[in-house]
Amino acid sequence: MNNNNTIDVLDAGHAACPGCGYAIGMKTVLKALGSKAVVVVVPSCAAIIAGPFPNTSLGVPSFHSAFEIAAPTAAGISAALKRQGISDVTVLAFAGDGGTFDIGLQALSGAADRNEDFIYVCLDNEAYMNTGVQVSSSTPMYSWTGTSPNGNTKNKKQIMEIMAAHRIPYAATASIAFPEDLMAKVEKAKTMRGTRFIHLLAPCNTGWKIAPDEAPLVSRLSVESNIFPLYEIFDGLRYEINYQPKRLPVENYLAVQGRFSHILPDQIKAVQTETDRAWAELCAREARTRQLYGDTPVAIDCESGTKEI
Amino acid sequence: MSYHKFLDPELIIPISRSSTTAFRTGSWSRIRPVFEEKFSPCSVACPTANNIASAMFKISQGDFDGALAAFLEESPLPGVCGRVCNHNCQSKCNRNDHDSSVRIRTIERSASDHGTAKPVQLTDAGKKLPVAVIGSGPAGLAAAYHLARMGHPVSLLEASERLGGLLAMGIPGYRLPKKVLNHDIERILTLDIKPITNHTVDHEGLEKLLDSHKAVLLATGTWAPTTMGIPGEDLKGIIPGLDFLLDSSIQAQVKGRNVIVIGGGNTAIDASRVAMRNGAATVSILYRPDLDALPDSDDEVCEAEEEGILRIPSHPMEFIGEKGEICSIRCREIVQAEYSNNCISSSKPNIEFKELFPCDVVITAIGQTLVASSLHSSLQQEYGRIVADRQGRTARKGLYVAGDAGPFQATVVDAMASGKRAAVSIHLELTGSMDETSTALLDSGRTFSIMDMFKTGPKRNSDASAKINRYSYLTASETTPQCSPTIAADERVCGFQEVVGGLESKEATAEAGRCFYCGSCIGCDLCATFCPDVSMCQESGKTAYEADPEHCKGCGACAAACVRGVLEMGEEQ
Ligand SMILES: Cc1cc2nc3c(=O)[nH]c(=O)nc-3n(C[C@H](O)[C@H](O)[C@H](O)COP(=O)(O)OP(=O)(O)OC[C@H]3O[C@@H](n4cnc5c(N)ncnc54)[C@H](O)[C@@H]3O)c2cc1C
Ligand SMILES: Cc1ncc(C[n+]2csc(CCOP(=O)(O)OP(=O)(O)O)c2C)c(N)n1
Ligand code: SF4
Ligand SMILES: [Mg+2]
Repeated sequence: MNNNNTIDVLDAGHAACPGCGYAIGMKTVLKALGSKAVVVVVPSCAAIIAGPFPNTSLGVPSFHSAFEIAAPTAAGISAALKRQGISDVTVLAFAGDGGTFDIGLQALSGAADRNEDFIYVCLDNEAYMNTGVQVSSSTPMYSWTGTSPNGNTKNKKQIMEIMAAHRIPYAATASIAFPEDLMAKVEKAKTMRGTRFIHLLAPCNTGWKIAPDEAPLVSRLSVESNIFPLYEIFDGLRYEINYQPKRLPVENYLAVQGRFSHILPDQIKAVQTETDRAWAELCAREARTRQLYGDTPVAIDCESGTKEI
Repeated sequence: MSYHKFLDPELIIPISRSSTTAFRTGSWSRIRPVFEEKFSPCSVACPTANNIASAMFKISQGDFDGALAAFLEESPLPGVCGRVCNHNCQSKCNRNDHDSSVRIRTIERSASDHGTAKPVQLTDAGKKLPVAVIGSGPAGLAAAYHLARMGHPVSLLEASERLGGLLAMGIPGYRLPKKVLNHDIERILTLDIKPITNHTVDHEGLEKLLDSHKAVLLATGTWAPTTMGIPGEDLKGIIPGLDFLLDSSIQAQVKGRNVIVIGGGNTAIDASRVAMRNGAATVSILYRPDLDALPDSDDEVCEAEEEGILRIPSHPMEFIGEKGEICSIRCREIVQAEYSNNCISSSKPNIEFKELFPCDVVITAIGQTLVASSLHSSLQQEYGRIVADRQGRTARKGLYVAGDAGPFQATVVDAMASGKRAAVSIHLELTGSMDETSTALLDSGRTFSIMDMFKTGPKRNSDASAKINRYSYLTASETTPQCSPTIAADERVCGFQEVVGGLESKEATAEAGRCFYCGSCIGCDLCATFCPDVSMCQESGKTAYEADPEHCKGCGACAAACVRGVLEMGEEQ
């Protein structure tokens, strides 16, 4: 897996905190994306990492847009490129969970509804981190944030289901702890047209209260404990699980993070129950949709963005 | 405002044109990853310091020749050790905490079964400095091998007609086929070694050798039986274990008889299994849990038990005879406290205690000692061994000892390690290059690596074995080790064919793939992959990874992700 020959499209010297899971995620995505690309960033840690004017860490042309409009900005750039007859440049938007699950949801929904042609990577660190750890609709139940000091009282919003409901050609979850899987997903998305969505769990060491060297470990645990399974949804319909986890108890994942340090045994049990339920449902969906739609991808008409099933 | 001007985006939006590399984020921390390859814990536990991680990685890539070459760096007998070594290495395998140790010994065997490689010359500095080695067991063979690799012309003197010592004459063919031993020996003899067989060296002979050679190494083993010191020991039908194993005509006498073997170690187990194969009616082993050695590994004990051999803990007190022939052994029961040093699982009694054990033949195998010859009696002895220091130096200048004859553990691999240590000590002494570092390496620990003496650059510290972390375990899936094919017990007791077979090359590759390669960088690139600051890189053509000090923030993600424990965080130099 020696990737030394491929160029890194993220430069050193950026301002992420030591050990930042976000930066690892961006680096991996950009590596798979390659240099024929345009990147959109919006207020979030991604914008910090992309660098303050007049310096940038991104090795490809990039555009800083407003918090809530990562998706339409990418759609606009993509359309403009097409207008100029450029078809071999991929447009990719980075946005945080706040910018995706909350404030950017309407704009993203509109673009996805029109099946606009871009890849959207939601860098999910499960809170508004860049502004000092405030709760978002992506924050998991019981998690501490600055605005949920006694633990979050709501379950994490199911963004994958929302995106699937738009019947976009491709949606996938990914983890920084599985770089090969993540890169393969970006590469796969590159070969498709229409709105492609990647939900990338990227720990924030500061907000999750983990040590600077623990982002890959905690990400790995999130997958191995089924908190964050790795799967793809094709055309919003057909589910495919990509990795069979070790099914470690969720406690292994929760216990290593300071943001869950106050969690009670009953609450751990509740998380376990919900995790088991969600996993069973995911497996059932995979089985059912495979039976319904088989293994062959459902055909997409790229240009018009309309789907024929 | 002209249309043309309006098109220049830089007039309305600022464009960043410089890289963030201008920011020296390296100043945020003084902690940096330190790249240091280390011994794996298995290799530290292997007395002859086999570079196991390197061999494992090569086999995982299907490179059996390379793996064999890695074993040959430290040991001349991979075919032998791959079968009969007590595999200390496996007990220290980091995988023990996860599922089960990598079957290292089996892989060593696979390297020898499927690979070819030649011994590598280390230096020719010993060219004009001939050395004599007396005895061709594992100690003598290893010493001769390493001396020859350092350029010394070697005379290898052996009393028997065959080379190999106990490997050729003691360990039975169902565990170590002669073909395998001979293959290892032939490879050793490609070096500048002159074997002289059928040549027993006595006291006079030793003096002559000391005159004609610059140094002499004594590796004559321990071939005299230890006596029990209980009444009735001279009755007919009581046979010392080694005599029994050495002589097939004695073995033939046990046919149809009831045999009791006394002792717990390799000799006892082998004598009982050989008795079984010679058609004994029953075979039981009486062992004294507080006194008798146990084979270091469970495997052989289990195999013996499968073959119908009973193991009974008890203390023989007297041999009882009838008309001068042994007919029973009187024993006393073992008290609980005497079990304390007896830790292997299958050693629990599998038959109830009796006071009187009737029998037709008794084989005593409670240990061996130096043969009382003119050669040995001229030398200072203690506990039945020749007195020497760790390097094998005796009180007499130029005379060294290795293997069972010296104060070393009596196993094949320890014999080899002591032979290697003595060889290096001789070489350094004769070439006048003994210094503080080499003395320290020669005198430390049970493990001794010759490559560490001959490698340029920083030496690995043999005490610091690689530690692996929770990430290593988390990312490793749980796997079951490959099973070696084994002949069924009722079939194998009918002859002397090898009981345990080797792995197919594909299976060996899979087994070696279970290894974490602790302490060895295999270029997996995980450190670079997980560096958020794009600061970790491997210089082209080199193995070492280094962090860019201008940008590394010292987060430690690389070291945490290093599943082999090569990278660790430390203060910037
Ligand atoms: C039955 C049995 C089974 C064993 N099984 C195992 C095992 O499974 N695993 C393990 O690790 N260890 C085992 N051992 C122990 C191991 O074999 C010994 O520790 C090892 O062989 C010692 O090696 P050595 O070179 O010191 O001596 P030896 O192997 O005893 O060789 C000494 C050699 O010196 C020769 N010699 C002696 N005197 C003279 C002389 N005066 N002139 C010339 N030549 C002379 C002898 O003929 C012999 O060839 C076993 C031992 C026995 C007896
Ligand atoms: C319209 C608007 N509202 C608020 C902000 C302030 N703001 C900047 S970044 C940010 C938090 C972003 O959170 P998230 O999207 O989760 O990204 P993260 O910082 O966690 O990477 C906020 C609230 C803004 N830039 N624009
Ligand atoms: S010689 Fe023995 S201890 Fe060393 S690697 Fe081989 S089996 Fe393990
Ligand atoms: Mg966020």
